[in-house]
Amino acid sequence: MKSKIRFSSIVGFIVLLLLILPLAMVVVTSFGTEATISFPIKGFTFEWYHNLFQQPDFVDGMKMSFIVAIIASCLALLVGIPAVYALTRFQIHRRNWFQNIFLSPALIPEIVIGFALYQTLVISFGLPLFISLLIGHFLLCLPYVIRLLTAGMLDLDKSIEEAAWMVGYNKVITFFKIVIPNIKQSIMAAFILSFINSFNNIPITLFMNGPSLNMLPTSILNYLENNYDPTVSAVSVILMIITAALMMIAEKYLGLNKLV
Amino acid sequence: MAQIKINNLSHSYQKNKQILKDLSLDIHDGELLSILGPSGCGKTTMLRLISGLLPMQEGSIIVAGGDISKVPVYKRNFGMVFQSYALFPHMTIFQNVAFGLKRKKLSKSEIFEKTLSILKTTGLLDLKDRMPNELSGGQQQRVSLARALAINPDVLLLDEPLSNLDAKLRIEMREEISRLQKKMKMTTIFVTHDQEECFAISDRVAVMNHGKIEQLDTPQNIFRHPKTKFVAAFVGYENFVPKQWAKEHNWRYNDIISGSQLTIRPEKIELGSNENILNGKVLVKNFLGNNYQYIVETELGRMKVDTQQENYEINDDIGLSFSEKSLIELEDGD
Repeated sequence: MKSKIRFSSIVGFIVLLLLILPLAMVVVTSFGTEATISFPIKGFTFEWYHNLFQQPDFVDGMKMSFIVAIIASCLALLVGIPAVYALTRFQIHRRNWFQNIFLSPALIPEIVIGFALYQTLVISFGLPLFISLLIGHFLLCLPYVIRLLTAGMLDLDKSIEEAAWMVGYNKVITFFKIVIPNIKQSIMAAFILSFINSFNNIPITLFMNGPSLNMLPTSILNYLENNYDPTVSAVSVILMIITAALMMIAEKYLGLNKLV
Repeated sequence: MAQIKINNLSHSYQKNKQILKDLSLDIHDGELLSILGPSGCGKTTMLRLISGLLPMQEGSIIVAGGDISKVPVYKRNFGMVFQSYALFPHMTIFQNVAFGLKRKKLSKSEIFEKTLSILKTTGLLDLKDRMPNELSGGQQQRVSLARALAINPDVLLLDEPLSNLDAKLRIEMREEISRLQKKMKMTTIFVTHDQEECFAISDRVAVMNHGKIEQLDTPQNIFRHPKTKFVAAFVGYENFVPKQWAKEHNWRYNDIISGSQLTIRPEKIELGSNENILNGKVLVKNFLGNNYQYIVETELGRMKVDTQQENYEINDDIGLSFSEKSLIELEDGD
């Protein structure tokens, strides 16, 4: 028994180390004075953070990633909320089949989705890159929305809606006055997870960015091809902070650990 | 207030699962009618059809002279109390009760006054600013009742409202329902599987089985003169005697009912008297508090006997006796 505990704590420690150490390294190198990323650092500077905001690729990329993540998450919610409501509340023929379709983007490798969308939407149908990119990110977000909202809806007693119908509210008003306020937490959690996944996504984004369409993660990759300076560390730190902050909000106010 | 006429109601889930079979029922204005039956007998389906929560398939429902069969649930103006209370979790008690009133063409002050008055009537005034999850089960059910009554419904529907409460609260709550129902003279349909519960407060009781009403009568008549074996068994007649057997004993009974069975309550049978009618052997002896219950194996099968006598033990040979008057004739059910 004792050796088991010791074993698992050693494994836990190794995993933590493998996870934390590289991240800590990135944080440290982002403050280094050398012109290339190196460890340990010889001096301390904020220069690379300053440089980061001088790079139009990074600034525009961050803006664009933000816009795409917000629009894609909202679209996924707009489609996902009614879909989940229907899936959990109505007698639907082949319910599981529909559920699996909505969840399927999570099962297909993202790089395949990216390639397939590029081939069909951009090449064959000639859709603008931005629209294709949005569709890709929407598909990426949908499974998170479906899964989190399904959990939320299943927790909600159906007779609460019936009680509202009984006292004179039709089904549409009941949906907005009773259902939505009671799954608010699931909606927020779904939004945050979608946002993070879209904001950090590379495989799908890779196929659909271009000179006029810079996304932050791909900008980082492009920058790395030509430069190996701590600006990349700095931008990584910023991405980490944004993601961690959102996860903390989700965890603290919404109890994400219960939902996922 | 309203009189309800249910005509030839039939309902089935899927193709061959018929829940209600050509059911007709008249409910008088202002009466409290209970629908009593085991789970799966169709009583909840019937209530949901009346409420409009379930779309009707066959038959019609007339309320106060108007056919409501096609009126959507939110326009029926019926109050409903759910088994699970079904309070709106994100609203205070006051908001829960006022919610339905906001749908009516009333001024804000009228809504406020009416809500306060119904909270006062139901004894909830002190709890009005609490959230539902801060209330006990009994209090929550009280709020549910207040919410249903607030819209001044034409009909009040109660779907097993007491079954999630503990024994003491259950009695308290059913008296509250009865008091408010009489005070407001509201036509009420009360669905339950508990005979004691519904006998205590009902004007009439409809005993349901397999989608049909087996007997519709006052609680007294159902208790004293059950019509079928099912009703008898449901209201505590545990013993059944073939009419043929009684005939062989040259017993007089009315013989106006064509059935083949007679029934007798466990407390109407005596043990060990001088004029034994049946001989048997004690199989089980249970202490029930007020009395003992013996299960006795006889030539008529197992008979249950409730008695004060405690001096018999398992495997004792004993004699059973009962009078002709305590036997009740039953119709053959189908």
